Amino acid sequence: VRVWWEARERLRSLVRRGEEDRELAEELQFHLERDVEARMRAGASEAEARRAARAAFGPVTRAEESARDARGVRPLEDLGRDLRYGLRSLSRAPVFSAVVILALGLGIGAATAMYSLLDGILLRPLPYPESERLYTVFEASELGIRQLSYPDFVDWRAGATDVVALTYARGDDITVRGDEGAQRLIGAYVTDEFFQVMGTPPLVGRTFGPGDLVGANARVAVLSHGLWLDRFGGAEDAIGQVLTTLDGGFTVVGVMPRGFAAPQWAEVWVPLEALPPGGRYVLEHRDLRADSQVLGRLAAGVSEAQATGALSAMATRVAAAHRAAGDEWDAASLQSVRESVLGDTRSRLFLLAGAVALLLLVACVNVTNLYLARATARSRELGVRTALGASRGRLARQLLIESGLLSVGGGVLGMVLAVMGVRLVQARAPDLLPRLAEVSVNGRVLVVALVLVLGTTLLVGLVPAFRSAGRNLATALRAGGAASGSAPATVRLRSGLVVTQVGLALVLVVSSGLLLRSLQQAREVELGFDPEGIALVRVFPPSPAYDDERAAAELYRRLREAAAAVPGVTDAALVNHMPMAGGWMPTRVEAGSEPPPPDQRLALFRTVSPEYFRVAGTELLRGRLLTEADLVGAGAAVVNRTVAERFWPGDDPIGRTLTVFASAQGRADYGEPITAEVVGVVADERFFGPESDPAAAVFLPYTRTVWPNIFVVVRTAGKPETLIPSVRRALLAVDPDLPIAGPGRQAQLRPMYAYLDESFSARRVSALLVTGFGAAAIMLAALGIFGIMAYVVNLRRQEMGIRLALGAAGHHVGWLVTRQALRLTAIGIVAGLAASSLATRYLRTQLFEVTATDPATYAAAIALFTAVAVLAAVTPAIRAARTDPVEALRVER
Amino acid sequence: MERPVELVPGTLELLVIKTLSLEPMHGWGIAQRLGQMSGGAFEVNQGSLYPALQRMKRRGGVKTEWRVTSNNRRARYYVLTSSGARQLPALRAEWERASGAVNQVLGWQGATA
Repeated sequence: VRVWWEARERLRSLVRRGEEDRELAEELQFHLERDVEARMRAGASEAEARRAARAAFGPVTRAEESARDARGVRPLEDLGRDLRYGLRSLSRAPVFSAVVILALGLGIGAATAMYSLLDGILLRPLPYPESERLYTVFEASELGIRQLSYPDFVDWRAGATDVVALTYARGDDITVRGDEGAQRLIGAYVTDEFFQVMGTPPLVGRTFGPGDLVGANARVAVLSHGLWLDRFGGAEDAIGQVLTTLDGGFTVVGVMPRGFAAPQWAEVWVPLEALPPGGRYVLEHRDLRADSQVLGRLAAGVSEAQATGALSAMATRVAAAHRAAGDEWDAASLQSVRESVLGDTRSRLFLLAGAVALLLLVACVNVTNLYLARATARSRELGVRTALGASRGRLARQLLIESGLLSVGGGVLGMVLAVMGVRLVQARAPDLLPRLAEVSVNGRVLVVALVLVLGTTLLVGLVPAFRSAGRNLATALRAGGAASGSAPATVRLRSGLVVTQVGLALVLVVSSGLLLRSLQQAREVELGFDPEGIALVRVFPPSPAYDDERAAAELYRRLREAAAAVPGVTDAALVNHMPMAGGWMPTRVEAGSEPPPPDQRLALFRTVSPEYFRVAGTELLRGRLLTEADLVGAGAAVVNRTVAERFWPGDDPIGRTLTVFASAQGRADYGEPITAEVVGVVADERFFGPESDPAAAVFLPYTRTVWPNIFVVVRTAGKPETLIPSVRRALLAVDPDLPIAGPGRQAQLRPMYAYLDESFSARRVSALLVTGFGAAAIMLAALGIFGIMAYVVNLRRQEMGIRLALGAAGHHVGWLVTRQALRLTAIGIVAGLAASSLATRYLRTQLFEVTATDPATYAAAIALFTAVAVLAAVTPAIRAARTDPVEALRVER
Repeated sequence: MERPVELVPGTLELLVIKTLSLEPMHGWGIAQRLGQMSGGAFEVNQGSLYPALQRMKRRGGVKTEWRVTSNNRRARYYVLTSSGARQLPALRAEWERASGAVNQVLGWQGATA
């Protein structure tokens, strides 16, 4: 109770402070006057009495002060006063305050944005309950891992129920009709237990499970969050609506929460039972494993090794029962869902986090340096306050409060920058990182930002505060201005800080240089085709109209002709899979020659129209290209250089025969051998992106085995994007039910370089971010060099004056200053080089065709810093050179 | 004139409570009364009296009210609260124990001197 009472009294005193002060003054005045009256009654004259009373009373203000102290609100009042004083004093130094807030804002903003990414991507749990028990399940052999076919999955599921609950998802396109024409969705056709295994409750409505999928009930759909927003605007009444397809429709029963992406390509989940007749072949083919995924949840207490063992036993049994003797795919492999989602994200994020930490450090060092400069400039003011009775603790507190104010300002700016930065990355590079869309600047991030503000306040404020509090009063007052007593120590300290700053900034600049060089190298890679002036769209002919092979082939022919006839289109071609655009299918190749090692017997199965090589710009190396005649004739093939070198090393492959295996899913001839004569050899294409090795490929006429979907590729005279609407119209004129729209990239007609840019986007964003951090760090370092040189010039003004008076040339004095700046920078560069050679080791995985010790990059960084040092020293040097000897010598020492 | 005695720290509150236990009084009055009661031995310094009063007020031992004095002046009067009055016996006992101990020490020293 007492504590409470006291607290209330203190609070009341604080609130009624003005009133209390008035009352106290009145009370003391009353006391004084009564005393005077008493003394006059005792016989003294009024003047005498007044004097005696004053003397007895002591200084009024002292009594007032003591009484006020006793109210117990002194520290709070002082804090308020210090805050007001701090604000006033900072507003008198607007440039200083702005630079400090900007530097801290940059550092805190970058660090906060970075933490948002770490928090949203790595730390936040996946949207699956007990996600550590969830795994993606593969078949394994010494050659690697691959997906399971549905019949294999059924066997595995039956044999391992007590160890792991398995579920299967088959990806197939769903063409839905809407107001704006047909749209293609990627559907995940999942087995009954899918939602039980994943365990995530729906955001809206319900999911489906075993038992409720009989008859018409099998036509239900659960939407992904993205599709819900895209198609239904996020409205709750989406439940019960029908997604109209050409073969009926699906009733929407639920919506999954944001971030639920299993498998990652799924846009809508429907029961496996709902597979269209044309897609049901996957349920029987043991060799058909593309576009599917098996997920499993381990039973409680089962380890990954135990589950792998149990499933491997099943794999061995299945291989023995259904495959040729000696089949090597007889084991299981598990990959945690976390690993599947995050992949190499961790290393990319840690690279950025390292860069951000460096930037924050540079900013703090810079601000400490600025504080030191300001403390020196203020030493007279602080000296005067000490002389007037301010305690050292009070002065240190004052300085800490000022740095706290600036840190708060920097923190606010930093939060704004962080929010903007995260939004910018989300808008400009949505595919840069997994789960990026779900990143937000949330409560946890705010806490981290607050900690950063506190930390920087202490880090950058403490050293100057201690130094100021401990300074010698007499020297401070006497010398004033620049030349306070501890000048040499200050120069040493500040020089050290500048060296540190240059060193840290150099690490950032070298890193950004290496990343930029990698980006440049990746861009200059010879792709094997010409991406400029090409646009493409993947056409998914809706079922059942084009289930028939001949109907599909006829559609493709008409689509190509329609596209080629569009004015401005110079040529058009068909191809089943386009480099970097997603989708591929490998086939085993047999050539009758000595076979290469097992991992080199596979080649991409490409089907093309004769125009493909011309449109893509792929060079013919030997023989001839495919012709119109090959479309009806049987047996011509073109191979790329890699296939030629693997299967006929040193020989001319023209005229040889090879066998591949029909790979078009759902066709009657799936898996049947196709024998063809090699008529030509073309250059290699970097199919999987500029940074991957070229892939082996065999090209057959598209009519030989008709793919269930096809890329229409057009080459244009001008910019391809200007022709996109007219090409799209031309294609829809062939059949308005074609889904040339949808959330997926391939379903839209896009220029080729858009795909190419996407393959660079991660590299480009990393490089640009680190370069931005590096640029900020250089600016801060330049500011640091400028600051110390200006300080030194001020200190040595007298010496400069004497030199000039004795006849030294102005440029000579200027050079003295520049030389000192260069010496500091050189020390910083040496330190930075040593640090870089250590730090860039962690960069190695992010580099492409550049070594971590690339001499050109290091040389450029050194040159850059030398130039920056000279630039930063120019103004102080000129001021030194223009010192007026008379004035400099007249200054009182 | 006899030199005023310096107050033993901590005793001022006891004396103020004792003074106020007779009647509410303003600051000057308290100082006067202390001087009179001690036969002029205590001269209470304003610099310690008013802080002590503020402290006691904060702790709830006294409360203040503005009243008009006998010769029609406005003054702040200090009134002993019931919790302040309850402190008197404890403070007095403490003082007696402390002064007793001091006297004992002095007496012992006197015996050996």
